[in-house]
Amino acid sequence: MMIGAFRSAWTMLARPVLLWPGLGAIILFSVTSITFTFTTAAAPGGSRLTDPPLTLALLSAPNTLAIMVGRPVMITGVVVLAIAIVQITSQYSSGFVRIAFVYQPRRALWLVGNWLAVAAAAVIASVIGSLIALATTLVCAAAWGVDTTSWGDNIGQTIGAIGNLALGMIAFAVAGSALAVWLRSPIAALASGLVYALFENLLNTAAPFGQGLLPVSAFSTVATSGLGGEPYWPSLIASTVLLTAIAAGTIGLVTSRDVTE
Amino acid sequence: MIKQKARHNGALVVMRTVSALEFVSLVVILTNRFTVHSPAITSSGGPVHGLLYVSTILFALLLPFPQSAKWLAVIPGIGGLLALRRARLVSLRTAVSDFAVQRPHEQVVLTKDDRREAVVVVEGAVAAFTRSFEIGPLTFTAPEGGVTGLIGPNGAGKTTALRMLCGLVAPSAGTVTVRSASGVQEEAAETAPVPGVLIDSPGFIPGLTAHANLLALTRLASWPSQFVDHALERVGLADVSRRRVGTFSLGMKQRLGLAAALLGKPQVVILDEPTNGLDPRGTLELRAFLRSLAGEGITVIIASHALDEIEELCDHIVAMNRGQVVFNGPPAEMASPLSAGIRCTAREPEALVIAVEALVHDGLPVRLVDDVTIFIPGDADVGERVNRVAAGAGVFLSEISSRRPSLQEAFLELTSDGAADAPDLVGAPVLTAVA
Repeated sequence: MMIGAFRSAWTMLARPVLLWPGLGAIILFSVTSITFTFTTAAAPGGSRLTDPPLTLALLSAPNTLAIMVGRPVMITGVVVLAIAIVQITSQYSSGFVRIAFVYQPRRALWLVGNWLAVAAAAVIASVIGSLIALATTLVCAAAWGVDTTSWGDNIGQTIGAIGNLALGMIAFAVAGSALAVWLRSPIAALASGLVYALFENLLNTAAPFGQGLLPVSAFSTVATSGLGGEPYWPSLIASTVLLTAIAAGTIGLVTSRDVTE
Repeated sequence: MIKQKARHNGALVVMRTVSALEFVSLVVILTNRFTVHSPAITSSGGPVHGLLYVSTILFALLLPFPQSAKWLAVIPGIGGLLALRRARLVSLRTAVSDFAVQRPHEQVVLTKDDRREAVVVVEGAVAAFTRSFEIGPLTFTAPEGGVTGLIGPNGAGKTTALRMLCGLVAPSAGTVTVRSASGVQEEAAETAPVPGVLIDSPGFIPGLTAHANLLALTRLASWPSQFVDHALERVGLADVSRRRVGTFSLGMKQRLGLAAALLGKPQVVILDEPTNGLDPRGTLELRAFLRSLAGEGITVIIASHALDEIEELCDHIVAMNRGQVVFNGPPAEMASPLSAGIRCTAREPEALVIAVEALVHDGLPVRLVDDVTIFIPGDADVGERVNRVAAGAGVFLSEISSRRPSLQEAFLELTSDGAADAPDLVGAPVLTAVA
């Protein structure tokens, strides 16, 4: 039954109108952001956007590939969030969910099926984003003459970074689905998600003690393997707790709410 | 010191305002503004009622000591507000039940035969939306292998009834039962075989193909995927199954909705306004199709405003009005004696007046249709009586004809609040006081 629910949700998710724009955005942003990183690092004195300034010499460090894998985390997160939101809200707004709940009265099963589907999409998006990021990094390194001899020393960390990116994206996907179930409107859900992310960013700037513990920063820290400076494990624990709470609340809402209006 | 006094005075103002509110609440309730509709308030029971009296006593006790007991004065205020809220709720509920009592139609009661022959049995089912708004109790049946029509004006509760049958709305009281096959096994609605549904508008994801939409439903319900092609073939959409639903016409979407309803090879199909958006040819085809489904032993339940459609299609009618079932039975029985009667025409209005006076004097409920026509409810025997009374008054009636109402007329009569807007007699007064 669970497999059936997943396959059903996947059938709805795997539509070109949803996947191609998302994939295009991930590829475009991955290539652009990594190229930009190399461009700024190649400038005299290195990139002024980081402290200490990022230089081409620093890019030859063993963990460069792992860092670059996490580079498109923001756009991948937004794409995954949007896909998850559209996946759920399209079923609500079209009225599909009414028939779905008649044919599968166990509504929690429907929701879990959708979560599995968006999680699978998140993993695929992460892997594609990572591969594009790795390829772009290698091309840029060759173009700017960066020494890559030590990159091979940390293959395990790079693979771990891809896994963490996938974990972070799964978290974004589940949170996006929950937001969609609560708000049922794609625009409202996406806008709320983005506005909240902005709010959390401001909050973290004003009161940094919550950094890595609130939803967006926790998921992002997991997705970037904690290489951005925030501690990884507290964020992973916070993400797990938050997702459990979100999942429980959403299941409760789906099973009890009137879907006929 | 001054500051302290000011705060003290402020507290006094709050206390006195609350106390005044309490007093007004008491006056309103004790003068029994709600008494007519509120037996709960005038009875001795209820914690809120008790609180009201306790708070009144407290209020009285605290009056001489406002400064020392200023915060305690809030209690009577809260008591009064609670009592007011309770009174409003009781008033609302009583008004609703008063309305129910006023309905001219009797509650539907199912017999053993009704239950035995029906594949769907709804008995005393109530859909409660809020504490003061509910639909029901609904009692009706749908015979096996027939087409049952659910009719009623807008807001009658038809769609809610269908949603209860589908399991989308859980009844807060009563039972909704769908039998599995030929009455062999009876199960609760939650575990019964899933009915096929087309409820509200057909709900499909426009970016997906027709096939993918149905496939998603099939997979969710764990049915074989071959069901999709079978259902699409049945409704004539096999050729366009790979087209996106967003490109479909309204009629095609409606047919796709029908395919979704037939997807699980159901024994009961529930359709809400199935001919919406169909052209005349499509409507005729759908009617034939629904009859063929019934011929296969599938029980079809449709809700529709198109009474001609219901009359043509249905073997069984469930009529609803204002959240109640007002009729449950075959169409022939619905065109009930309520509106059967005798229509009489005189050559001149003056002659009709004389006839009406005589008929009313004889105790017949005469209704005026126009200057020269009257209508008297009743069976054929009334015709003889009318003829005799009119002849006795020296009036020759040019036409005395018996008429039975159509389904539409019967429906209008069943769903009207009184006889004044009976068929053909909209606005016609009942002439009982002429004599």
